[in-house]
Amino acid sequence: MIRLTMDDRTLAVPPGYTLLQAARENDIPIPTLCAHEALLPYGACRLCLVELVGARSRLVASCAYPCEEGLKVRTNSDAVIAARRTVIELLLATSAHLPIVRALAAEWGVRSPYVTLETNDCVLCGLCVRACHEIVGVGAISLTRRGMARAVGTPFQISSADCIECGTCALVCPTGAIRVEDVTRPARRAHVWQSDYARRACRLCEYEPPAMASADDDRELLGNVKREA
Amino acid sequence: MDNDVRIGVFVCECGGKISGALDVAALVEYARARLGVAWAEQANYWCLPGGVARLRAIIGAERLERVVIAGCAPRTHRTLFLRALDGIVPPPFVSVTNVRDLCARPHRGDTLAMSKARDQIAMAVADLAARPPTPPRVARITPHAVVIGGGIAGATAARALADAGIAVTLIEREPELRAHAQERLAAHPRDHLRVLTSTTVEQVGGSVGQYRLALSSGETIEAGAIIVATGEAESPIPNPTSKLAEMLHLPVDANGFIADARVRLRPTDRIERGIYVCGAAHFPCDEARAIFQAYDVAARAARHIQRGKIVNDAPFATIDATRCNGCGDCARVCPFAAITFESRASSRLAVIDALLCTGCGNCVSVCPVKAASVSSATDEQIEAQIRAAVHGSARLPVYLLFACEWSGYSAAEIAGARGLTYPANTRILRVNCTGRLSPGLLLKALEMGAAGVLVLGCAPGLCHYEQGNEHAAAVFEQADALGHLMGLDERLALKWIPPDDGEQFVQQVTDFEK
Repeated sequence: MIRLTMDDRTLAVPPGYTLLQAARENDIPIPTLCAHEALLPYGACRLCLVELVGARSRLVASCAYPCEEGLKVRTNSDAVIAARRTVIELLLATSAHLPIVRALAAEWGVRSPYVTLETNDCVLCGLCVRACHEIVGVGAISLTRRGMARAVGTPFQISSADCIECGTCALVCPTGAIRVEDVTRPARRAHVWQSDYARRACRLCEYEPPAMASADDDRELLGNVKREA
Repeated sequence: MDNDVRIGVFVCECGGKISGALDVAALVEYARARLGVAWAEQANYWCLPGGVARLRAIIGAERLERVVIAGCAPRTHRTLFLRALDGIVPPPFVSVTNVRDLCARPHRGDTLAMSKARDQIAMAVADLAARPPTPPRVARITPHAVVIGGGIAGATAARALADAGIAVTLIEREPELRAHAQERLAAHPRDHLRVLTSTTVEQVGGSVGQYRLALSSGETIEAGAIIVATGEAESPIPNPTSKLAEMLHLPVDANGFIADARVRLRPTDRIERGIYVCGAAHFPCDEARAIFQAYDVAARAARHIQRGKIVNDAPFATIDATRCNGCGDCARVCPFAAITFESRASSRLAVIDALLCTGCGNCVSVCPVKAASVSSATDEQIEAQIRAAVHGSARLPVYLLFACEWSGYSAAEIAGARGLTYPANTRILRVNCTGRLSPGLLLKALEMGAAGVLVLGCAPGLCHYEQGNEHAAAVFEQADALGHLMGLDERLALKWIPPDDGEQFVQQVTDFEK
């Protein structure tokens, strides 16, 4: 067993535990947004930051940091709370309209952020993507692009060929940003890999390719494919 | 309940998310005392490593054979528990019931919440107790691939497979391969790659992993993977391409191209058939695309063959040979072409390929003589759940909701997860597909005393099992007609729901109760 101190309590945990798991099992509250018991740690939201006290104290993401013998952890020091408040402030910048963000702001006393950005339902926690890959095993969506343009999407931003509409992404989404919509349109055609059939898409990856009425149009587009050797 | 079966009930507090709204200790006591299970216990988090270790220890110490984990969503946590209990409890006997999103969250503060929670656990226990054992099915994959069509795509795929060290036979109906195809195959040792010209495939038999192709030359070859690269079909249908597609159970679209059979199921619920299509047979394409596709399907076929064997432990359907009358309705509705026929006496017997079957239950509902049944949803299991729900711990009549995994049930979980509320005198019975239901089951629930029966399924055209929801509609109409004769039809309804629409779920339930 590994022995460590968390907020003046001595905890004993088996090897392989993360700080967050140790806290959860011992009813020590640490807020999280992107952590999930059934998914590998991701460390995106940074809400779970805790302080490792020592010669050089530092903040680490408790969801990913493994328990080590003799660690001294503080989950509510000034540094931790300041960091937490900053994270929430940044969340408020894009998503102040979301109940979960407002609840965090209320709990930690964060008011108006110093900046407002374009409103976004998605907080890029990655839960949907990780669930689709790790639990469902289909991997229909992924985090795409970088920086301000980072978004959850499908390959080439078109209707996903692999999505099985299981709704797991919508279930794990903490903000309700994902809706699975029925978009059955008989004329709808995907790109050259697939044949013509009615298709569903989630709103994130909805994409309308240019209307192609028949296989003849495709041939025209591809420059008369039929060849005689 | 069969007292020989040792069932364990493990109720999760979920870090306060469940214990904050429900009396978990009382649920554990209910399971122990009233449901007669061999063991019942609670924990803060059964899914964290500590909880899992404790779970395994208890199962070992108490020799538990089947477990119900009353916690959160099966969609997120069942895989976790299956992995944790791998080799300890067989997958069919691990049940996760979502007390958090179907009870604790939507009915917080509701006086009827506890009775719903008790009944939900009772339903899971009843279902598990009635479930028959289903060992996994294993099939070998023949380490040989067949490529049908010696054009650019076919030759590329054959060459790629041979390069990967896999024995390939390329079948071409013309007397000679075209020049560019020959080039591709030229520099390759012939022992690995056999080219048969002036040959066609006459028949395809065998089963997944061990296909048997009867050729026009009289030879029969075995293959673990088949790649169709026959090029653009001559119209109109029927033509050689469409006939081949029919033999391989591949869908053909309106223009004669072999379409993708899009299977919208979890990878764990279905197995790969090992049949692939590439090139202009699939869609108009130029040379570059044909080559690209050929490499892709060759890679997939190679991966499939290199697995060596297929293991499927998903539920599957079986036919009672003493009842089957050979009518063929089951084969007509099977979305996975898993049903074939053996001749016997003066008629024939339906045979279900246990590897291809995904356990949707469509065959069960259309069979006129009740010969078909699904291991994960036998009539006994469903009736046991109905009984646990309707004759449960509530002092008032309850509304039974038959919710399809892909629509109604999903919406119910999301409604709870989003914190919506709806009446707590509802009991949710999860089915893989509403197509599994029969009029008898719907009416039995009413007969047992349900205040109402609401069937929630996928909208037309969107059933994950092709036409399951249409069968459900037909079943419902029958039940409705019979119910009308008994004056019960107002208490029966069928609604289509999208999988993520928690609000609509709440709306439908509330409206129905009025």
